[in-house]
Amino acid sequence: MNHALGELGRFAEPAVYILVSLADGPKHGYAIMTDVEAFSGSPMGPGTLYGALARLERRGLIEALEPDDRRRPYRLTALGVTTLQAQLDQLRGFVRTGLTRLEGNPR
Amino acid sequence: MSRLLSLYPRSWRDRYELEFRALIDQRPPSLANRFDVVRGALDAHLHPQVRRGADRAPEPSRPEADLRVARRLGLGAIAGAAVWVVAFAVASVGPIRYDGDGAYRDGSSALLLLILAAGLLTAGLVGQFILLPATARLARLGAGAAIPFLILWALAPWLWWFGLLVLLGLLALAVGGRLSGIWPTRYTLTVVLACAAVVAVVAFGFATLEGDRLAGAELLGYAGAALVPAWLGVGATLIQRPG
Repeated sequence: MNHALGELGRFAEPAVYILVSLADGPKHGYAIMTDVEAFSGSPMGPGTLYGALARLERRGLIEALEPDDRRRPYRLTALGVTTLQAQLDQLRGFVRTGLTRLEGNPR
Repeated sequence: MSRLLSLYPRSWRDRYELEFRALIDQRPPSLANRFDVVRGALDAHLHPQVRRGADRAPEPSRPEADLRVARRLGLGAIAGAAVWVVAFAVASVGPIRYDGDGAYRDGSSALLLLILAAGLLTAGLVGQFILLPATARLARLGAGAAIPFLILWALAPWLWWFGLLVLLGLLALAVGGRLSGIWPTRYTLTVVLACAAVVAVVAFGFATLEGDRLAGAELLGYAGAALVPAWLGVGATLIQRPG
């Protein structure tokens, strides 16, 4: 977890999920919730979703767009893209290390 | 679910409630989700992410013309404070008369001056309505309550409890004005201290005069004089506004 997201405490993981969900375009709350559930396999409660959205918005990683009726879409900011990229690069290194070690394990 | 949403801070609800409700409408929450909402509300109180009033429309700035009017009404309040002093001075040298209860000071010659002063001071309180935003409820309530009791007190200055209600109105105006960030602290303190001085003078009179109406009239004059800084405070806050 990089520094920008690591300081979010219990909201750090939901925040990464939200950033990933928004990586292919703007989504409103319900769309994010169902998308995260689909790709992560675990549901995200509405309290957690909005706790994480508020933190991401405050830190300038996402921004709210004009509301569509009552639903307000969010999109990644440039800082959000950079932060997500750094986060995923870090995870990629972590996954590579884990897989390499597993492959070298004689068992 | 509405009751659960009311657990969130006002600033959070101003910003997110509408879209949050839209989400809940699309997927009615399970028991676990309700628990998650309560936890989220607790978090929103402990770690607020939304600045107070961040998503509210900013208070519209006062039109220039309104501020000019408020300043003139403030000048009226200052003039009213001067007339107020003169009225009490005139009343204090009125002729001594006698009735069945003994001697008393006839201050009726000051009545017109007192009514004029009350009119000018009322203008200052009306100016406060122009100056104060709708959100400054306590201050507006105080100014609104002080106006009728001030007029009644001017018509019947011996009914001291009208004066007491005027004091309470002024206190609410000054404290509410400070709390809403409109009144500078020094003027709030001026009004509070002036009201405290009036209360002290009146309390002293109740404790010591024992029905001496001549001394009571003199003391009423002191109480009226003690209130002058409060009227000046009301006027000064109007005059010193920018624009």
